[in-house]
Order: sequence, then structure tokens, then C-alpha cells
Amino acid sequence: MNSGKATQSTSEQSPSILRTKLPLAIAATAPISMLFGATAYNTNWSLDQILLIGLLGFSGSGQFAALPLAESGTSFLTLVVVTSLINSRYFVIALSCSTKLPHNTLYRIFTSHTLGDEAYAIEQGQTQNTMLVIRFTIFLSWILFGVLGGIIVQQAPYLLPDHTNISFPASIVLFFLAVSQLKDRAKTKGSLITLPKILLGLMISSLCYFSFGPVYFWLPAIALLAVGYYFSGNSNGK
Amino acid sequence: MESNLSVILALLVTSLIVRVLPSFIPLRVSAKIQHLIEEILPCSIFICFITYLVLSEATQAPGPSSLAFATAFILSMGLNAGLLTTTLLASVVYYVSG
Repeated sequence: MNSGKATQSTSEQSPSILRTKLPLAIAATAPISMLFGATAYNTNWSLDQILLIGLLGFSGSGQFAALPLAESGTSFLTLVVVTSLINSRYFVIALSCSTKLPHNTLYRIFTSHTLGDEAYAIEQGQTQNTMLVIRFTIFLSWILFGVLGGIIVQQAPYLLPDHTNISFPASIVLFFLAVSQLKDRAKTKGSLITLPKILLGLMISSLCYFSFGPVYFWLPAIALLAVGYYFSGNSNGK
Repeated sequence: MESNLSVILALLVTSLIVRVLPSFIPLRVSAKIQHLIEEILPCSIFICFITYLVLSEATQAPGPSSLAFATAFILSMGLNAGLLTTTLLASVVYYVSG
């Protein structure tokens, strides 16, 4: 019933999101991508390979994890299993936004491949076109900044940061986007999500984090929360 | 060289498994499933994002990251600050206190 209003609101928000949140997400993730490119170059990856891994293996943390595995001569199957586990959260994330993807098969495959955490957090509630712009822009900038990181280290190896955590601003961007999404959803009349439920969810996911570790907690935590929220919603007559 | 190409291929296969495959899983979109996909799953994912970010940064620098996340939370929730202001101020807090 409120879809007309929602559509209008979304189309009004789209340009503003592309002007504000998207550039900042790119600015915050660029240092991480450059760090990846620089690290890869230092471990004997050529610039072509850095370009190729960004294009075909676009996966942030998975790319970082793959570098030492490549050096140690890990088998292909082990590589797939390890990087799939590290990126297992995308399975659920991809499932939750699959209805919005283009119908053309090749286009759908490519769009799915460009899904990332920041893109997912920004594209919520946006039109398909805005979603595509967000995904492709972040994807492309990740690749280009990765190569740039390699080039910079090629020209000036001493510029590679030593102990500075340059990925922190990216964590803040994702934190802000996640908090804003939850705040907006909690404000919606009749929403399933309330502040006590969010707090309970944070406690449960923290328990999963400490039980399973940062790599393996995603699926159990998301499954537990989704089942819990689903049944709590049903018991409230939703 | 060969091992680098095998890593690239492994990451491509990973992307096909975790991102492309789910987008082709046929979903019977009843009202309940729709609700699950559009509201419950994203909320669960965002809660896990927050947990992951806060706890993983806390293992590297507990004091500065706690201060920075608290700053970001107050700015975004209490003061309705925008993304740019929040990111800049919280990052300054992190690097200055670190």
C-alpha cells in the first residue's frame, strides 16, 4: 500500500546517495585496496595479476587471505574451501537481494559477482539502476586502486605503511551504514526490529563471534538471528 | 606465477559459489518468505556487521577503537550526523588516541 510513497522517497534519495555515501565508501575502501595491491606486488604478483585478481576474485578479505596461501603452495581445493568459508556471509547476503537482480543471465551473474559489503549496505531501499551504479562503481574502484597500490610500491617501495591500521575508516563507514539501516528499519511503524531485539541480536552474534571466531561466526550468527526474529515476529502475530 | 593464477581461479570459483549461485536459487516468494528476505535477513546481517567490526577492531586496538566506535554511534544515533562527519571525526579519534 505504501509502495508508491516508498518508490517516490527512494527515487528522491538516489542522487543524494550517489553524491554522498558512494564517494565516501570508495574513499574509505581505496586505502585497503591499495594496501592489497602493494602487498601483492611485494609478494611477487605482477600488475596484470593484481588487475586480474581484482576483476575475477573480487572479495576483499578473501584476497588478503589468499596471498600467504599462494606463497605456501596450498592446493586449489583448499584455496576454494578456505576462501569460501571466509566469504560465506555473501551466500546469505546474495540470497537476500536476489529478487532485485537483472533477469538477463549474464548480466545477473556479473551483477552478483560485484556484490560487496559496502555496496550492500548502501543499496538498501534503492532502485535496481541505483543498485547497479553502486555495485559497479565500488567494484571498478576496488580494481583500479588495487593496481594503483601495486604501481606506487613499484615506484616507491618505502611508502608501504608499516604498523598503521589504514582500514579503520572503512570499518567506520560500514558501521555507520549498518547502524543507519537498523535505525531506519526500527523507526518504521510496525517494524519487526526494535531496540531490545537489536541489543539481544548483538549479544547473540557476539557469543557466536567468540565461540566460532571471526571467520566462521557469520553463518551460525545470521541463521540464529533470522530464526529468532522470524519466530518472534510470528508470535506477535506478524 | 602458476600458483598466483590458481589463486585467482580459486577466488573466481568462490565468488560463483557464494555470490552467483544464491542469486539463481529459485525462491517461492510467499508473504512470509518475502518478509524473511526483505526484513529479517538484512537486519540479521547488519547486526553481524556491527559485531564483526567492533570486535575485530577491538582485538587490534581496544582503547582507540572503542572510543572511535562510541563516537561514531553518538554522532550517527544521537546527533544525526552524516556519514562524512561521522567517518572523519571517529577516524580522528581513533588515530589521535592510538
